[in-house]
Amino acid sequence: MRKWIIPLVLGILAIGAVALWGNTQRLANRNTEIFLDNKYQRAFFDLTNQVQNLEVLLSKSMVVADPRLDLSLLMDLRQQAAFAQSNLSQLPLGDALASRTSKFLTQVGDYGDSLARQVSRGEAINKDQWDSLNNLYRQSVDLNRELQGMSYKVAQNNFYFSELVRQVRKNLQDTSGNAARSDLQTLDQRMQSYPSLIYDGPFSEHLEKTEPRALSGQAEIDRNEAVNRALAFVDKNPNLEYKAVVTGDTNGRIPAYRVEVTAGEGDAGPRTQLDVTRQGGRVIWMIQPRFPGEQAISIDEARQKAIRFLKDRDFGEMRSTYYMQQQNTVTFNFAAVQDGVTLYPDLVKVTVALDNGEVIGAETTGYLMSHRQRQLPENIISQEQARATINPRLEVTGGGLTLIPVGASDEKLTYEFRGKLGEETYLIYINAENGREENVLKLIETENGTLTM
Amino acid sequence: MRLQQKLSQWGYYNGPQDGYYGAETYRAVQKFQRNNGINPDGAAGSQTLAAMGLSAPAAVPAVSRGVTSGRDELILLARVIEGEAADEPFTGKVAVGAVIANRTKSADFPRTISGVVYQDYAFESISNGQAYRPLTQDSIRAAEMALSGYDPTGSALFFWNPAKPVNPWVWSRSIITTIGNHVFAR
Repeated sequence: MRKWIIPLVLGILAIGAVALWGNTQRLANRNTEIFLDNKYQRAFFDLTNQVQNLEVLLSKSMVVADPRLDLSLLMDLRQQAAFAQSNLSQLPLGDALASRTSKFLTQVGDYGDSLARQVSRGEAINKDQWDSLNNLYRQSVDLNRELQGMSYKVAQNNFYFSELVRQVRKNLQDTSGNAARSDLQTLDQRMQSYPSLIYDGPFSEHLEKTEPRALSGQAEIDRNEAVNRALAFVDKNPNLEYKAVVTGDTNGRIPAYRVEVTAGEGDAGPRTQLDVTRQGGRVIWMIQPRFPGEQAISIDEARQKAIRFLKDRDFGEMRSTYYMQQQNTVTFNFAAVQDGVTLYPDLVKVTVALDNGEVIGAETTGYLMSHRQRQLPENIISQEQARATINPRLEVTGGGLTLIPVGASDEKLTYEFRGKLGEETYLIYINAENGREENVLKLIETENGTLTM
Repeated sequence: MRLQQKLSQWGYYNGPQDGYYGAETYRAVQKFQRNNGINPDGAAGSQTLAAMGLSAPAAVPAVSRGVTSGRDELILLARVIEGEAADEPFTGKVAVGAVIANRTKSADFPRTISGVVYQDYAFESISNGQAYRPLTQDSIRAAEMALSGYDPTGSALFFWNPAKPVNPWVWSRSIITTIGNHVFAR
């Protein structure tokens, strides 16, 4: 009899321990789930609230008359849209869902920003812009209605969002059969049906369709020519033989051939990859995946090397603007120059290895998208006049003429001044036609180079 | 980074050499300072750096100044690259970084690197914790290149590995190119 009593007691104890452990796990899991769901609900109700504010602000912006009040409404609009956007991105939706809603929020904010800049220049909102505001207002009403419908369901079901999460985990492929998911999909589809918005802001849709200006009017090249262009572009060691082959295509904003260049015998040498544009045969980017050894040349020698590299490849006059040193490589930014004016939008980046001075990377998208002969304004104010408009607290140097991007697609001729306040340095851009301050950048010195913000 | 190299050569530090001055680096510096009779404040000041045979990066100004650096974004981007593209060729790593950078410039996505990276279900390696592995030089270098504007993807906003189960929806995007095992699309 004693023989089985000990195993029995041990068995019961073991079962009890497992049950206790299981229960603790269940409670912990439940707490985590509630905690998460609360976070989701907070994001959702904040979003609902902010979209309501957007609706009210948009409708007010259609009726105010005083530009000062209009300005403050438009700034508020931008802020509420940014908050709403941030909350939307915290909901467990993945990137496919709600992208149109996200686009709407971004563009409302962006449009508000663009109009605020216009109003602050003293230009009133015109008829077309008013219609756009009206259009955005109607979209915000729709979005609001949908969100309120959802908020009723969320209030009914505490686990609305965690059910959504579970559904997504169980089957990434399944896009139907879940209340929250289909609610959001309907919402997104409704938003899809609105026309696109065109204005001067970085998220305006017409910008996605811009053509590379440096290539306009140039002829298409074939694969053989792409190989030649790639071979002519890479930085060559005269002792090695180079071979290139087209390995694929790229159908991005600038259609291109993907070319791979190998140096030396067999496959041992480094492989450099490049994209060569179909139209015009220019190199968009080049990357050689090599990690340079110990630094053997100075930043200045590397800069001279980069300047020669660009000069030998038909880039015309380029000015080195700033650089960034990273792990025995240095990346220089170059801007094109026309009549002594630095054209900041026409940007080329060149990466030089600091062990042997080889150019191991280049990137020319900015240059290809915007480089052309500019019609620069001739009636401009003097450098002294421009300097006089700067905040007197700054110790000012410099004053060269530069063309800078303003808004999304506009460019302005400006004087570039360097201003020092205490230990901090700023770049100040004064419009060369009317003396307005167009932009201020802060220079941040790090041990690797200078950042602008 | 060179600081971490020295410290780990001398056995004070055994964390990742990612150039990030974290708690571990701090403790390692403190230990070094104690052993070398320098006030153990855990900060790599000019005296400490001199004792290590490293020169301090320029003269440190005494006046207060900003601390913005962009370093945190770089590390975050490198994490996703490590998680999503650890086995991809170098260009493929830069490409994944470029997609994240492109998303911050697209209206359909959040505006910041952290917003894009932590968007729910956007990146598998963030959802399942794969991204929290130690960083490699490759990933950091790729993140640096992506942040400085290199984009081998032709402005792609999506990427996926066709060998793995993916939401069929992604195939409706217009495909730009293939790099390594990833398809890139916008």
